[in-house]
Amino acid sequence: MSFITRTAVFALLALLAAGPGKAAETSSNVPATLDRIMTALRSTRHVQARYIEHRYLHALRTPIETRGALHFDAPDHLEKASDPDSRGSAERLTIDGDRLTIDRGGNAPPIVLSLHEHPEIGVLVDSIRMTLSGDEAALRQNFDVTASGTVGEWQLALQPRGNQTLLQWMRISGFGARITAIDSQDTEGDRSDMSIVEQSR
Amino acid sequence: MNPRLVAILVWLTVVVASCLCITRLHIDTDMAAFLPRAASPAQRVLVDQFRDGIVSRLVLIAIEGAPDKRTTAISKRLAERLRGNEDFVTIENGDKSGFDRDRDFLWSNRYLLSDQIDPARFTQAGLRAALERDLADLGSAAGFLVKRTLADDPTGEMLHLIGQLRGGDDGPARTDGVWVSPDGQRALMLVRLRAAGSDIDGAQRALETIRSAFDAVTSDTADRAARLVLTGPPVFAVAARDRIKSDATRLSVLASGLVAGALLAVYRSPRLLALAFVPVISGALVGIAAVGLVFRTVHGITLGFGATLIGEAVDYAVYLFTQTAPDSLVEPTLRRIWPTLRLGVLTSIFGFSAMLLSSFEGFAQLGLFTITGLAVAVCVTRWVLPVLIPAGFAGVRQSRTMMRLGTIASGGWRLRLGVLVLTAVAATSLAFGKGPFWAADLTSLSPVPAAEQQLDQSLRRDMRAPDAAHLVVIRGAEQEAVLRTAERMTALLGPLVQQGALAGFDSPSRYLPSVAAQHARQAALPDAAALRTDLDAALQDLPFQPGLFAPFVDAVGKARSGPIVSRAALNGTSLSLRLDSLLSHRSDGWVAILSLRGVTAPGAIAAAIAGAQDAVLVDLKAESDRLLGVYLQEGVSLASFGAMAIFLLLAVSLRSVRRLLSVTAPLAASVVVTLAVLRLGGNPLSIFNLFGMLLVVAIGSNYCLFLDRQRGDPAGLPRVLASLLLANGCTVAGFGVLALSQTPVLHDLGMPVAVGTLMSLMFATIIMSPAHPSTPSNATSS
Repeated sequence: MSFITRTAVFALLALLAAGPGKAAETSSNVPATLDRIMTALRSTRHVQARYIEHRYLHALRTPIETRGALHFDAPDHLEKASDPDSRGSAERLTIDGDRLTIDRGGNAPPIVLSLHEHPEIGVLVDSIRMTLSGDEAALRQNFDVTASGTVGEWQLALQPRGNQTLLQWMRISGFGARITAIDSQDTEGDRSDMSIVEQSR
Repeated sequence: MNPRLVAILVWLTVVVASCLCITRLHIDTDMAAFLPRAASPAQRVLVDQFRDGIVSRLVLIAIEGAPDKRTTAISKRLAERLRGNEDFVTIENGDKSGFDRDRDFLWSNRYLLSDQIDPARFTQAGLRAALERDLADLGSAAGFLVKRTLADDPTGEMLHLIGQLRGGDDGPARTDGVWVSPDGQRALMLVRLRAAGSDIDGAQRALETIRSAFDAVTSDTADRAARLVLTGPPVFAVAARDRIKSDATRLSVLASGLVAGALLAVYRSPRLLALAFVPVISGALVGIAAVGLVFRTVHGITLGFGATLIGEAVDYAVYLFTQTAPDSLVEPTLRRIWPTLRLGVLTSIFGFSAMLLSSFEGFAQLGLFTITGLAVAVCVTRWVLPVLIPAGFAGVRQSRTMMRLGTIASGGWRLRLGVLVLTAVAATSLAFGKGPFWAADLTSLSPVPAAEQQLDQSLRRDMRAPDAAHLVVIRGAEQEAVLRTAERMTALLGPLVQQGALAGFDSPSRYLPSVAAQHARQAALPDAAALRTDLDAALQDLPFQPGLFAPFVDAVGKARSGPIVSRAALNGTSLSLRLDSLLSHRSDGWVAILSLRGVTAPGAIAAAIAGAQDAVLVDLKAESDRLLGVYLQEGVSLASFGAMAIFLLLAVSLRSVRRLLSVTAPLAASVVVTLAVLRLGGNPLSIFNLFGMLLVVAIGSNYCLFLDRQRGDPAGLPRVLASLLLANGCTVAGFGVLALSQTPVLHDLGMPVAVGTLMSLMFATIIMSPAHPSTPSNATSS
């Protein structure tokens, strides 16, 4: 399952979150609530950021590290472009509406998926969009959500409710309207940690 | 025995025998009869595809008119309801519910199906390359595609097979997991009927099933606004049959009514009217029986159209009745007009004999029907009618109308210049007319109205249905042989896809590889010990967990010694249907078809496969255009042949250049003028128009011959003219009614004949007008 997709999307979400967070920053020691976090995230329209991701797969003895750029345009355009690896190959993951495209460059045709046909990914993407749009009710409908920390350093823990998902859990960390990390684990036990540094908005 | 009695006995025997024949006749409405007997293999493929190929069973369904959320819901309910119905092979509306079986089949047979399997793939180097690629894939966003199958399938055979299956195309747009048009207004479904394209009853039943299922799933008031749109070859076939049936009945009744009305108005005698139909009906019965004996079936169009065509035979009785003066007897009149009548019938038969040679079976049937019918009708007129005519028959009186006709006609010569000018203008407009002269598209022959063709194309665009415009067709004696050739072609086409000569292709060997290929793949798989050794060596320095690939070693071992894939293994999968469409057994052997997508360099593909004896590249569009070209060429040469035959017959019979010219000039002029009329507004001519012109010459020549004979006897002219006018009135009525038909064949034949015969009569009257001082009265009966 695409926990890569998921992470990408959350990363983007993070970038969004990186929106104007003045209010939050001025009172950074206020306890975080879902409502407060959502309100902060809602204001962001465009995000550009760098990420570093470590993936721990049970098939491998060592983690895989990738770096790249994240990009978001409201309401539903998300992009995750990896830097060229040691062999010079890079890839670009794009989510537009219902369509998820993975372009790995070279001669290979891009992989195109409909999120409707892959509900395990679709639920995830939908939920992220709900988060981005600050739709707290819809987010609660799909996840058990727990907010902790302060507005200056918050954490969201998400647990999917439906069984049509490969996601076990996800933790999003941030401050104000910025997301700094997305950690997750899939139902096969593979984990991903991603840290995010925003560049512009 | 009394010769009159003999005539009656022979007539009755033949007619009764024909009736017996007809009761056993199969009437066929397959429009493919109006496609030619295809000569080349490529054309045979085309016609086969048209008749019962996979495309001929496809029905496109659109659901529109309801709010979009509802159309997709209706689509789901409709699909649900239709699935499992035995009229349908597949019901697709975009959801992937049927894919599990396909995936299972591919997964458990991946080492036999994948064309990537060769010995090099399982060497240490081959495995190393595969594992390094896996590692890169795991690190990619597409890692989720690889992760689950990694341990069983590190060489990626399954992904390769699925990629081939999808052909890189994601299909139509989707909403709620259901296919929709790009604008989201229509929900789309694709249904494949079990009935072959030629089984119109089966198609009709299936379409009824779809309609009633749709009614059932939209019974909710909120869905009342939803409309069901059906298109595709089976829909067209059913509609065409209905149209032909109704046209044939309606038009025949209408034409007969008109003709009967005209005759009754002139003769004022129901008995004469009945007698006038005796030759026609006898001719029609024998004609149908003859077609049945020769072709085994009679096409609906032959019946509908031929019955009207034979309306020419009413003319014979009309000539006899009208040309018999009140004070004379039938028999002398008959003897007097017989030479002309005989020559007229022979002329028609010569003209129609060209149709007999046509490679359109439909036309050949029409030709045989007409020739037989006319011959029988003229014989009945000559030998049976005199017996049936009551003793007291006194011919039609010379009316004032007749005299007036004579007067008008005798002044006709003044219009000769007019005919010349009109013909010259018509010839000029033909020479410089706008637009293409001939309809260059095979759809011009199609019985499907243009509006329905457009709807079909728009739905196809919505579906992003691949236009199977290019095929590689392979023929052979055995299934194994055609599959092997298909594999050779697959190997040739692969690099061409890389080079961009085509976007992709589908081959039957993907679903059912040849036995030889499967054995070769099994032989390429290493035994467990060798595989483990090479795998361990290949895994050196890679971060995979030890023991991860044990399932892979097991799977290879099973594939190596297991059974190979047979046709039966595909049962229950949707791949089975794909295979059926690409691999079929015909009376003359096996045919495998590779369907190509997005061909940009057909030349390169043709060159690449040129070496294969048993494979040929078919460009369906070009082939169908070429086929039409062949028809047109054939049409032109047959029509010329018919005209030439008529000309020779007249030359031999008339034995006078002057008479020959005066008989043929009106015909030539009327053909030119009629063609110009048909071309008005830049309309292209169809091949059916061409055959129509042949009929104009055949029927018009009768008029010319009668007028020619009458030159020596100006006093009798009014009576002859009246008979010709009445005969022509019947012809114009009969064929004019055909012009009302929506079926192109009927319409395109009716129109030119109605116009052309009228012109022939007018021009003949004008050109042969006896009052012209320069016309010597030298006509002698020949």
